[in-house]
Amino acid sequence: MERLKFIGKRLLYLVIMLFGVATLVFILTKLIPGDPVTANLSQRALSDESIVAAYKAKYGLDKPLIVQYLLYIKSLVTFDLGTSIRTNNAVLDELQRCYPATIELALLSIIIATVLGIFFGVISAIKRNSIIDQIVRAISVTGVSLPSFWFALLMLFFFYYKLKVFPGPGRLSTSFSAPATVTGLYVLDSLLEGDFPKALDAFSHLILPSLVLAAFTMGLITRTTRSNLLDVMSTDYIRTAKAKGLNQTKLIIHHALGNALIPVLTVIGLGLGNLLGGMVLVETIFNWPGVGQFAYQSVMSNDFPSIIGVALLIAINYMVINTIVDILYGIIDPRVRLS
Amino acid sequence: MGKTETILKVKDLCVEFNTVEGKVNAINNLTYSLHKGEKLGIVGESGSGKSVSSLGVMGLIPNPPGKIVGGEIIYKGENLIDKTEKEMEKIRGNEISMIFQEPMTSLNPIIKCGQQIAESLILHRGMKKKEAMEEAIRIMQLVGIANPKARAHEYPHQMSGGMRQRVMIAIALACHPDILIADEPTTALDVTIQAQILDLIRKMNKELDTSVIFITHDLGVVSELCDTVIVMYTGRIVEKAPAKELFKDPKHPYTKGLLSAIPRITKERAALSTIEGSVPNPTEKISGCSFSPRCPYATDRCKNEEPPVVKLDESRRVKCFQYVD
Repeated sequence: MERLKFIGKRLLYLVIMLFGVATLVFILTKLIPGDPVTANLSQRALSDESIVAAYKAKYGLDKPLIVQYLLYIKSLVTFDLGTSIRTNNAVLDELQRCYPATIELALLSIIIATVLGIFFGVISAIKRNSIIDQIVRAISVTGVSLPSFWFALLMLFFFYYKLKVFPGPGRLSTSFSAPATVTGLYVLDSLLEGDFPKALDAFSHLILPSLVLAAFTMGLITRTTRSNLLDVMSTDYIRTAKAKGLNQTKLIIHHALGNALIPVLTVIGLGLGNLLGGMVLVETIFNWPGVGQFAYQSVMSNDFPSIIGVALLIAINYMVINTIVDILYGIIDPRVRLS
Repeated sequence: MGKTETILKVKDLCVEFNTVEGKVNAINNLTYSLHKGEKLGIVGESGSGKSVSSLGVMGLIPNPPGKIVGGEIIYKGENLIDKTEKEMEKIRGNEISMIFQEPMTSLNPIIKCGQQIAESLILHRGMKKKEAMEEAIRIMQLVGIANPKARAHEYPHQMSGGMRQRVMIAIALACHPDILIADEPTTALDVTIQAQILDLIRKMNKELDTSVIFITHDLGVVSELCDTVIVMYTGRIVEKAPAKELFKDPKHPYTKGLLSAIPRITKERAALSTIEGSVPNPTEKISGCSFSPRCPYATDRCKNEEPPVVKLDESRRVKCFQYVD
């Protein structure tokens, strides 16, 4: 009951925050220089006042700002993000097309980063100052500081070009056609079709870009896990648990890890938010048709509705993830839930 | 006392700590024994080694920086120092338990209190989860927690300091240990709660026949609770005596100083007496008796030679040249 109340409260905050972000984005689009009319109509059409007036009327630009704002909120509530100037498709359709590609990549990356990060962090905390700790430190610092585009090129060079163990750029080999869209995640959709080789092929395409993207977050998770676990291991309640006769493994799993992972959750959440926003460089190098590529192309062609759509999507990502992290905090730590 | 079975015998225990300023002898040739059902008080100022000596018995001296460099800890005829970590895990919390000074931070904040008690029972008694929880609730009742069924499902932060210390005692006593080591368990508590916790320890000692090592700097608490008292100074025992005799007739100059430093309500208001000087820095090497720089009776001999342990009678020992005939 107390848990449900806590979750309900968090979800209410989420709705309020979404509204705030939408308002902020609206204000920003009105503040930045550039007039949608001049940006979108040809020189000849601009000289014809009736066309300009018709265009303004079509998009509600002739109405007072407050009415424009209300119309904008109304269209958002009905999931209408306008039409992309570059492709002439609805922005929502464009996002629906490219977002699953990014989700698929981000999910695998964050899973790799979390599993390896926590594992490395725990190992290096237990074996503090040993050679293992030093090696793990080297790996995590490298992961955090490697420029992703360079790391991406290296991975492609070795594992695709030289060793040929992983496929090259793209989501699927040319011998396969894209699976029918159910979730938009190729691995999942191929499995739903019952096409196991295709799922495997899609999965193998995911590995290199996921590893590249995971490196940074993994480094952060490793360092955070290590330092938090070391802090927790020197607390009084761990001494109590030791005095109870628990062995090292039980001590870490039952008593230390839960407490140590609370701050790590935040790092994982931020990492996932970052990944879901699309990684322009890595998506470009791996020819991955995700949000990053879409954002890049939209910016290059001054496609305002699409840019706003991406901005909103990124903001919503962070807010939803933060809400989930908050809820998880509350589930793990009773002190958060009750305060 | 003294006639019953000896349950724990610490002999010539030496503990060293590696610090940035060099090696420190935290415990020097500590020797004492604990009898079944006895309540032994270990008294001393901070840094006198009283906590380290008890952590040594538990095998919980943080290593590094600490290390047992000599001596024996004989429990049930076996030397605990020679035991492996795995063997010690079976003894800790089962046969020898410990409660600590800080009830506010000594319980895991994200585990329900009842579970923290039940954990010992599952570990050492091999109980099933449900059975252990029922037993935990019974023990909570025993240590004076009202409405234990509901409180077992509460988290530590929902309880007061006194209640948390009761939970700590419940954890320590869950498996009916032979020895309970209480390291300043009442220091962080209000006076009224202190008295309740002392009563509880006394009751448990009587009902479960658990021997108690009570570590404190509070002589008042010792006089109320303990049968025998050990006074420690710079990692050494300077005096050992039955509690009543110690308070009536202290022998060592340090004990005398400690006792005269207790404020008394009956006395006219006067400046509190103190012991001149302060506890020496542990890295400092003092030749002769380590108390000699502060001792009003110190002679040249005290400053050059370490005094022997003098046996005054069957139960009293003092480490001072004054009593060497």
